[in-house]
Amino acid sequence: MSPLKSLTTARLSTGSNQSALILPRAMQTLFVLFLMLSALMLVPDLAWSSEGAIATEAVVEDVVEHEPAPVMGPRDYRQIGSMSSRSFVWVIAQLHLFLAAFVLAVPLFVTVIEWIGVKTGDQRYDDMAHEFMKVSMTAYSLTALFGGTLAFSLFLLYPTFMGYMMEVFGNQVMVYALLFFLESGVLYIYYYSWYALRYGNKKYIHLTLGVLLNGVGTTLLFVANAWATFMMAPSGVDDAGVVTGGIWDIMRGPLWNPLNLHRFVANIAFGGAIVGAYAGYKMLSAHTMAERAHYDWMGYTSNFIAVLAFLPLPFAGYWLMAEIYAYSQQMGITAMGGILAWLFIVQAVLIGTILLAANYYLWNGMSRCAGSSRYTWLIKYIAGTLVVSFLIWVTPHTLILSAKEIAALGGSHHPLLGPFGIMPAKNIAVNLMLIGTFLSFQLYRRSDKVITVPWAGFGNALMVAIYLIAIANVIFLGVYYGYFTNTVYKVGSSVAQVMSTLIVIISGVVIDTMMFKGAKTLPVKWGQISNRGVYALFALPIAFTWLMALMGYVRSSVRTHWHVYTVMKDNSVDNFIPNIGHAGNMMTVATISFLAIVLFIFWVASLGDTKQPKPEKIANPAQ
Amino acid sequence: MNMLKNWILSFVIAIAVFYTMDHAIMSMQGLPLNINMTPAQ
Repeated sequence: MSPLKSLTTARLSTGSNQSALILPRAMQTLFVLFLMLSALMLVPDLAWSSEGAIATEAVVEDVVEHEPAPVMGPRDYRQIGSMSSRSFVWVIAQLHLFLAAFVLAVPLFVTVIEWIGVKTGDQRYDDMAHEFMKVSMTAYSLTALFGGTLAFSLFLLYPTFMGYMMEVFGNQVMVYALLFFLESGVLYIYYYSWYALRYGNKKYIHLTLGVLLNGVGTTLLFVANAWATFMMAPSGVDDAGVVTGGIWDIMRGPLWNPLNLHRFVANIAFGGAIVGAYAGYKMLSAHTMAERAHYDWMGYTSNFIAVLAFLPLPFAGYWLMAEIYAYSQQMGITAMGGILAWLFIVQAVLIGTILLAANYYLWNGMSRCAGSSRYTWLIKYIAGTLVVSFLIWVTPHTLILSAKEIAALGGSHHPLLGPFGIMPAKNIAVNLMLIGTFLSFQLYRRSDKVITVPWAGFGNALMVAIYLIAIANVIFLGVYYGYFTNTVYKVGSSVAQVMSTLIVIISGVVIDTMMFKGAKTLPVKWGQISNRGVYALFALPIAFTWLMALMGYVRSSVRTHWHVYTVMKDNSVDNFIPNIGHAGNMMTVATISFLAIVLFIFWVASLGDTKQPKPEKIANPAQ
Repeated sequence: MNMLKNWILSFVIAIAVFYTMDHAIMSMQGLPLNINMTPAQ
């Protein structure tokens, strides 16, 4: 069985094999070439010649004189009634970001799933990809609605600030608008041509449309990210805010690529979690075993996408924070060592929730296959590791104490638990949680296989050795360099910890792929999972959504009392970091609103399949 | 006996890989280590 087929079992409990899709080699070659070209186009440094662009821009910039950032006064801020402008924009912007993340993410994994359908010849993948797109179509128009509302509210409530941003970014905003025309056109063609371009050469045309859609969507993301990162770490302007560089200098600030990577990957994880909830809902409300089995499989695939994308996220976030520290120590300390530090404890709670829910779903899913009984004894150790790591991650460094409590404690830090409050302990915890989650995945993948390669004994021994040495290495690096050497070695050791986790993941995938060659497949009963396991699919998007809102609050707040950090001061009535309690309420309002919108999206997606039965002949009431 | 050899070889490989990786990653960051993993600076 090919590795791709081994990702999910080929047979549903009531399904049958589908006919293969036959595609000529020439079309395959063209498609691969297109993929490579698209990848090149998406690499910002190669997309257009930066030197050429700057040279051209420099000639133009010599002629145009730019104004410094304006000093804002009360007349530069507006309000709608007595409502706080910041609160209003906060909720609208957050809802726009939730929806945008969803509609950008879905086409990414839909194209991959469609491609898997082509390679395996299994039409179920094609049907699932189409169903995911159907769910995201409603979300697309809502994204645009909230985007328009956000734009109107920013121009209405912060006209002077927006005037400065237009001064800086210039025609780039029109590029953003034009990209939306392209995105909409390609999206509608991609979705509505699904069945018209389903087989043969036409399928490759459809896949090409999918790649184009993702290219445009990713470009939209990168363009919008530039505005956010400019506000945090302005580039291409001098200290007074006068534009000194070209648009490329303005966009490519120190935080742009870290945010690009982080949001790109996080969107995929988020999108997977949302469609997982859709699959969970459809499974629990299924009327037939076949329907239940289909949506169970869809839920597994969604969870797989969400967790696969989630695993590298801590590293992308670490890079973003490292760049923030490198840009401004003050900003970095505000984020993680000062007033916003406690938010990272809340982040730990949410990520712990996500990992526990994802693992719980996998453990429950193991009941689909009798072969899993070989591995279920490991679950309690993975669960124990997750819980202990979670508790360490959640332990704060500074405690909220009265003077009397500080005196009783002998200081502001707990004598025993205080050491768990600093980054070395958190790094150990998060790496162990990720290793444990990957182990759950690996056990699940092995559950329905009986390995037959002659070197299975060595392969299994090697896998066990890699896990044990990686865990020991992560703990050693964190404890020794974290507590017994200087700060530079402490920070540097975290990179080696990340590499340890990556070695486990990569070697696990490679060794298993080689060991699965010629493996016997055991039957898997899709649909045979406890409802408790399916509830985990609802917990995932809730935690993801709240986590996004939380991190958005951190990102905005690190600017403290600046609209554009160190360049344009915030002189509004809201020029302070809102307290955590207020922020918690705002985030919860945004999260609940978004979840209500998601329910609406699911309902509309199902509505399209609902057909009212034709009524029986009714007697004419006039007779 | 074969199984014992498998286990010993596996652990030797794993330790070698992680030990080499630690040295390489720390050196790349300008943080060399001694053979006993203590900081060389």
